[in-house]
Amino acid sequence: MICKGKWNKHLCMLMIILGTASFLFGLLTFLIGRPEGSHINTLMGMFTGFGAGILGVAAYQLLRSKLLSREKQEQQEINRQDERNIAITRTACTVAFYAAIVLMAVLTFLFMGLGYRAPAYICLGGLYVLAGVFFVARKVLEKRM
Amino acid sequence: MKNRLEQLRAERGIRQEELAAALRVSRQTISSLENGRYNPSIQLAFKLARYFHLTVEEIFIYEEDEP
Repeated sequence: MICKGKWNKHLCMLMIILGTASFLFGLLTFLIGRPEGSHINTLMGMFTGFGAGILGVAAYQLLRSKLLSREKQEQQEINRQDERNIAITRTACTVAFYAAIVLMAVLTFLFMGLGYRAPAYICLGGLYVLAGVFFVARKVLEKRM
Repeated sequence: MKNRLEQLRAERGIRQEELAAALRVSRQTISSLENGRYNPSIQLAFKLARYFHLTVEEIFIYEEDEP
């Protein structure tokens, strides 16, 4: 299932709902609530941007599924299910996972070295979460395969 | 793992696109298989064998010292 990149109507609708909620929350909190502190304003901007991004991707996928010819849709479906493409995506995900582990470790040391204790502990926590997800996924897959 | 895919396809006058469409894979997958850059799953190997009316062993050559 994972790495097959399946787009369907339900996923697009969920993304539209999530995107709209995030976009409106960020925008309305900023406009009506007038939060104090620049970091809260930035956070609301992030909510707005994140929502707009999700909304844009979902709208693009929906439009594309409507506008694309039947032959092209068929070819895209073949490419999506193509075992070599799936293998390539899985390998890329593995590389990205190792890169994330190294990045988190480097950031932990960097933040601690710079005296930012909270970000350093957050990165360390992220490192443990990544490792935890890896071992849980391994256990689940061991039972399935 | 070596294979006779390109030879078999040429003998039958089939284009990569046609073979890819028949097996519901991308043309790049056929190309990679022929070049030996990609080893197929067992399902795809059987699909190929059925398509050419041959056995898997007649298409793919397994060499013992391969990783």
